[in-house]
Amino acid sequence: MRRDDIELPSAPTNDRPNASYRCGATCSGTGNISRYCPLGPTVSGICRSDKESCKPERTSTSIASNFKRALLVIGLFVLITGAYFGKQDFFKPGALSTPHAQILAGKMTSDSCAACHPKAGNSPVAWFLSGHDANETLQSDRCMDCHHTTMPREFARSAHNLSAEELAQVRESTASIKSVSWNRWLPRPEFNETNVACSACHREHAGANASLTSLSNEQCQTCHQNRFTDFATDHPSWNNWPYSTNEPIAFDHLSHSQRHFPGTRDAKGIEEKFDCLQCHAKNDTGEFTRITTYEVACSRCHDKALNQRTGERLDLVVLPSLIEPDTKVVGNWPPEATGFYDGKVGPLTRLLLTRNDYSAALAALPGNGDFVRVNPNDPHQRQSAETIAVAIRDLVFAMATQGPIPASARTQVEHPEVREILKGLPPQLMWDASQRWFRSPRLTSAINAPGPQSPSSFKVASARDLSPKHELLSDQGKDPLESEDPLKMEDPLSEKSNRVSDSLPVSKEMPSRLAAPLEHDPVAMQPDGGWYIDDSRMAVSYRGHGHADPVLKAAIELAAGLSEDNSIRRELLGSGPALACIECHRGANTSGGFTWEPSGSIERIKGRFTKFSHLPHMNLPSLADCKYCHRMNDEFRGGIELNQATTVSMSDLNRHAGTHHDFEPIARHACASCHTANAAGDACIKCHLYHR
Amino acid sequence: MLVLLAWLVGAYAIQASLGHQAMYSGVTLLVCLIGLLLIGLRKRLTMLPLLSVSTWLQVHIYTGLFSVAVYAVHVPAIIAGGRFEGPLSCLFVIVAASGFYGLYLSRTAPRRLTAIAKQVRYDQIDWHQNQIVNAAANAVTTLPDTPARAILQAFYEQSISPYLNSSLPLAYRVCPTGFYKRRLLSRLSEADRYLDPTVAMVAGKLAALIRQRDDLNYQHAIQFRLRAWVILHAGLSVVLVIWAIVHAYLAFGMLGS
Repeated sequence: MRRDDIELPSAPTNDRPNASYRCGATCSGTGNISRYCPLGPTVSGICRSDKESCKPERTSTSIASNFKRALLVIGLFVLITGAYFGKQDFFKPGALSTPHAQILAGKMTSDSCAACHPKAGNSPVAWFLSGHDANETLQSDRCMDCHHTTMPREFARSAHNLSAEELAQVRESTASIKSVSWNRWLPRPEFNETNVACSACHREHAGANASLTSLSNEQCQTCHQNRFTDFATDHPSWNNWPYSTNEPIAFDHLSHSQRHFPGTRDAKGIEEKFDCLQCHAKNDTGEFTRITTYEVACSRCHDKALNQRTGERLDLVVLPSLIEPDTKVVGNWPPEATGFYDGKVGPLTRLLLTRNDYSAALAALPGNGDFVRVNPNDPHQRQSAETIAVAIRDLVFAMATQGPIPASARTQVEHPEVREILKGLPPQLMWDASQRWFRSPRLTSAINAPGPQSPSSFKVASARDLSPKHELLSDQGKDPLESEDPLKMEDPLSEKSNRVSDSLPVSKEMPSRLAAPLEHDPVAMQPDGGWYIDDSRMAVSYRGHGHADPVLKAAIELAAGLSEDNSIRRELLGSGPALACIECHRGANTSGGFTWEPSGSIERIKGRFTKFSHLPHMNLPSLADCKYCHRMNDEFRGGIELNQATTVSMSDLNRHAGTHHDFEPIARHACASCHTANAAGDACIKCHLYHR
Repeated sequence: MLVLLAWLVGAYAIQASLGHQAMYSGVTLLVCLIGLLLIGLRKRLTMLPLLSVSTWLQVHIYTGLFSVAVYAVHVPAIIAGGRFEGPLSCLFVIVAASGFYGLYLSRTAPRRLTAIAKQVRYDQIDWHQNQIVNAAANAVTTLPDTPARAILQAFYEQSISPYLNSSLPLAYRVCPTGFYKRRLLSRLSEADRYLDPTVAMVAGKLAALIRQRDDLNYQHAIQFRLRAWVILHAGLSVVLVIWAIVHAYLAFGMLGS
């Protein structure tokens, strides 16, 4: 059909395509735009023609520019109105991990943000206006508001929660190690080791299923000087893993398994079997418990020896013996404790006196209060001896009249363990001791007796309080504890006693005062322990009983809290009962972090940077036998025989502590056979923990 | 690719050193977005010797592709939640998608436009349309007074003139088609055997004008797409950059606090 073509004129060249307006070409009302006006419209869109004006049109360029401006205005409008009104869900850079999302689920969104972001105010506008103030509470502090129970707040931002001193030690110990793998080329961390924000490792807003604790091997090693490629080839070797030389209970596995258990038979006569699970039983979660109780594991064999050793006395007060001239100065001093200097002020007495302003007098005595070594020709030593004697007497009176705990209130301020020690000491026992030893017609006169020093600093009851009206102090009182010695009375339930009571009044038959000290046999008379008066030594002492004796525990805790060079600490911890406890409870003689009853699973031990779960390992038949991995060291000779009562000294304990254990360490290659990248995994965090 | 590889190595190093990889990728992304906007500035500063627009366009395309990769590393989800990050991510995705469409257009449109004999400027399409309309009207007025004239005159008034005077339908802009042209030419061809030679000559001119109008429509549709794409892509890019700057300000403010 293309029989002809038609040629159309060329387009005009006098138009302005980039101008905002162009000629409408509607002059004369023809609507014919074939002829553009050569003048064209003005910039503001007004026709320049002096004839019949037309209506200029917007160019496509102008329309496009207007459209872009409209888009910009709409975008900014949405942004600003959203920021102003969009209180909820305005910022959502990514879903929170499930644990945090669950905790914050009940809060308004803005509040949820503020839980972690200090700058989050009540509206999104506050985020913009808060600026970048460095003094604001840091985000890590917000983390610690919830997580302060799992780590100390003061070390929360320190690498591995170690103190600066510990970090310096670690750095020094690894200074000589050089990396051998390509990892040494990785950059150093982007933060200081003493200012590690929680978010450095725990990155939020990565989705509900994202792990907050996952770290790559490279991330773990970025701070470490010794970097390596993988576990199997160049991971640093270890020495004693998984055994610690600071186990809280010193248990000799070797001797128990090879010597003691084979020869032991149960009640049915069957030979006992050394079974690991007897002590390390599985808990509810299937993990092995760290330890069982004394009653389950130890008491059957060790009760007798332990009772014997803890039954050794622990003196609270012992009256020293003074020379005759001194007793006249002191006044009202028992004749049984008169003649020559003798006796030693015990550690507990010294502690109580130290806190009651007798430090100077104690220091003046030779040998930490050893009266034997007092020189009678030295007036200064004699005066100190007299002062201490008066102080001991005042202490006895104070405990007798006020009670042991109120009388030791000043000591308890610094040493709260004293309250636990004296909790079971009855005031009547101290009253009885004071009456027997000092035989004072009036307690008040004894207290007010002239002495070489200023009046006692013990707050004993005043003379008015202790007047004859007081029942306990009155000679005419009916208290049999004072007027009649109950120990000399016959058992009121016995037949003889019943016969006497029928004929004679008991009070007439009883002596008014104790004529001579009673022989008290605590072993026979107090088999379960307790406080007692030892008249032969003029002492108030404590007899412990077996395992977990509260007074002995408190005494050890008290001593452990004292400084290393303190003689009270040395004497308390060196006493027989204390040594009996510390032999098994290693670390009880150290201050801080010690627990008498270690609990929890064996896999997760507080203070270690490693973790281990037996469960997946025990699924392998070859590993089901504990002894496959935990092989005992046959050459171990570090055990202490508990049956050898009183033979172990503190130096023995210190010698053995921290140097031996009775297992052969598990070597790295034993783990590396399975723990490779393609098998059981060799990520750092598979075995290591960042937080202790 | 080398730049992207180097950037990924840097990102890995920062992540391995427990640094803020999101900051690294975010700053990179913001710099890229601002850089991508500069091509618009270059087009307006024609007087400055700042390389050719073609070079700028190539850099713009590669930077855009790089930005998409950086965005994928930067965000935890392609479309974020929240009323601030949600629109921001949508804006990026739309601008990036329009960029890919622009890349497609820039590869196909020139070939399609040059396939037509005559190229016209977009702003002169109206003028060319009127030329065709006037030429058709003039051709019809020259028809001799024969019986065939009534036939062609009626066909012109009923079908050809409405087609030539019509504005471009939206459907045609989206999907250009020669359906109307073929139908008109087919009907004109069917009437041809009833026309005498003089009238047939005019009918031939009308057929040529119909083809020219169809070519013009095709030019119009393709250029409209290009124009609309540029407006949308450039307009949203400006909004995106402003939104991203606010996002960066907030992100720096929240860093470690």
